[in-house]
Amino acid sequence: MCRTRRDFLIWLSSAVAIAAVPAGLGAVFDSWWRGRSAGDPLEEGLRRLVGGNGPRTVGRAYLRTVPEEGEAATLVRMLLPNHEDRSRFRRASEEKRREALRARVGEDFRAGRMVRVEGWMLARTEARLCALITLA
Amino acid sequence: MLTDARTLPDGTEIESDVCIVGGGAAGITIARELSHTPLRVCLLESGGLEFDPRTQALYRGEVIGFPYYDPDKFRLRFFGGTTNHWQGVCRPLDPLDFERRGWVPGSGWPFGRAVLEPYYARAQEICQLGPLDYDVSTWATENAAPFALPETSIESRAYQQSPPTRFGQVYREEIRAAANVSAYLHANVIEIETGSLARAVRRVRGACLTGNRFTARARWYVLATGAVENARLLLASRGTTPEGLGNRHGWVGRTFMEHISAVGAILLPSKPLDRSFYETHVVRGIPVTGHLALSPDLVRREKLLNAQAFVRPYTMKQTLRSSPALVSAKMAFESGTLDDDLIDHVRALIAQIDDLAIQSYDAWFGAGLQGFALIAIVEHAPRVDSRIMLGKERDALGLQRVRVDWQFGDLERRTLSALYEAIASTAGQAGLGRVRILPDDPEMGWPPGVRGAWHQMGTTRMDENPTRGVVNADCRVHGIENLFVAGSSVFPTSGYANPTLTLVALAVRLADHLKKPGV
Repeated sequence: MCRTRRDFLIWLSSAVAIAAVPAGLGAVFDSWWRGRSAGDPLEEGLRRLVGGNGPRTVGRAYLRTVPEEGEAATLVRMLLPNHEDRSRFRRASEEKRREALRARVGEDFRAGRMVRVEGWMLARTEARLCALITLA
Repeated sequence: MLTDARTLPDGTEIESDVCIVGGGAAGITIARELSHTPLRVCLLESGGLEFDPRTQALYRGEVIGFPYYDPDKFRLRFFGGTTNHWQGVCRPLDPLDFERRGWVPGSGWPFGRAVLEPYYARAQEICQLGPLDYDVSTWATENAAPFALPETSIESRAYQQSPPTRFGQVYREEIRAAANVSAYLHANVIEIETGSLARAVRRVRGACLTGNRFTARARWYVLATGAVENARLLLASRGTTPEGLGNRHGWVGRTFMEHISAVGAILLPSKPLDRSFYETHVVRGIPVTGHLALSPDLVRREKLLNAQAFVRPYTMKQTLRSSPALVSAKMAFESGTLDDDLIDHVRALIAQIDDLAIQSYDAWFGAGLQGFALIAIVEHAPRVDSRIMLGKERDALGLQRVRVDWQFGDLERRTLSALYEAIASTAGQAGLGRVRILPDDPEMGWPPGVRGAWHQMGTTRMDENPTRGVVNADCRVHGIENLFVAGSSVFPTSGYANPTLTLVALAVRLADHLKKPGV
């Protein structure tokens, strides 16, 4: 169960890191989705609740509510606001990227930076990551 | 002594020092507290020792406003009253609940929680609970620990669980044996009579369904028939005051409150969650159940009402097991009266089955995927438009039936949303999982399945100012020197905790007051 969650985060961190090359994301996503192991409640729940393609559906729904964030480059800027952030993120190990994203999500929840997407109360960072996947 | 009032000669006059009308949790508690005193106590109970459909039918009425349960389904009219089907969930009101909150019109009790503290301690014993200790650390164990939550807007708290005490069974022999207490069964009070200036009750008039009539005279009278019936009897007692007794300023029946219950969100864990603390678990012999509640800081900061959520597996079976309608139906079945009431019971049951649970559990989660329903209980603000009135129809004794108009609005809705958002935020921070709020569209308003929690309160509210309430801090009806009201009808505000423990504490306090010389 945890493995899939971890995989998801790894993939998301990769997505952010390589968002400048959106063409590669689809393959990464598909590979992750096909290769995931069943049973992760959150991912499985997302998939069941919002359709067969959870993160993409959440991402699409998010972008419907925030169309001004509808480009990958914009989302990357939102997630990693300055060049230094992006460089640091790109250089970081996968473990560090995961930690950074987790911390960011935690900060969002702490600060009340939540968005309601398909009924889900998500950290804004999570929703933006899903949107990034959608744009891949 | 227990006497069947149907055996009394027509026109019997009962004399006592204290006449208690109603043999539920409040009435029985006051009678017990006054036993072994020099006072002669008379307790008039409409029902017998068992459920009887003819007596229960006296409770029938109509519902207008927000959909609510049929008035003859949410309460029971026999010795022990509604404790015959209560579930025993107990917790004192929070200190916050007693405070005057500027954003909640009508809030503020005449006294703080500290005044009730010694009475709560005695109520704990009466309700067969543990000590007056609701500190969550007392009830956490290695095998049942609360979620590790950040110090934010949500707190884990605990209820204690009464067996539940069936007052009519547990205290029956004590009442029967008390030399100074005379309890009359099948004795319906149909009017409270006062002198011409309505400053004092002169007697109550009663009747049995068999036709014989009686009167009861006393120095003091205590109305303890439940939040709906207390208002009904006062409104119906119009011999000297056309607006009803204690109703000079129009408060009788108003601010009818009922905890708002909704299955409006689901917690989907991101890791296996041990929710043993939130299930009923036994600690040093005391059954307790955890829940999640809004922190007082958040309530004050965001100007909300009080609210909590149970964390329950999202299954229909669980919902059914805890259904009050199922309990009522079971009792009717056991007393052999289910056939008469079958359709009503089935209707009540269907109304209580959580359609969300049925649809959602199978369709969304499927086998092997465990979600948790967050069952909210939201405080109901005292609203003048939420009220008990008299209807046009009359019951078998000629008394006008009740009309229930349950109303709530934006403040309750905003509190429910804030509760779920706070849980979502806390769950996200703590890594517990994610929350999905229903319905998807916040513009749709209340989630489907919103309903009352079977906790009627506030129809004879307590306020030291006679222009803003029905009873004073001693629970005496303003302007009537010898009439008191017991029960949750006197609550100025409702908090979120089940009302029984508080109403028993208030009953003990009232009994102490009546024991004082020169009341």
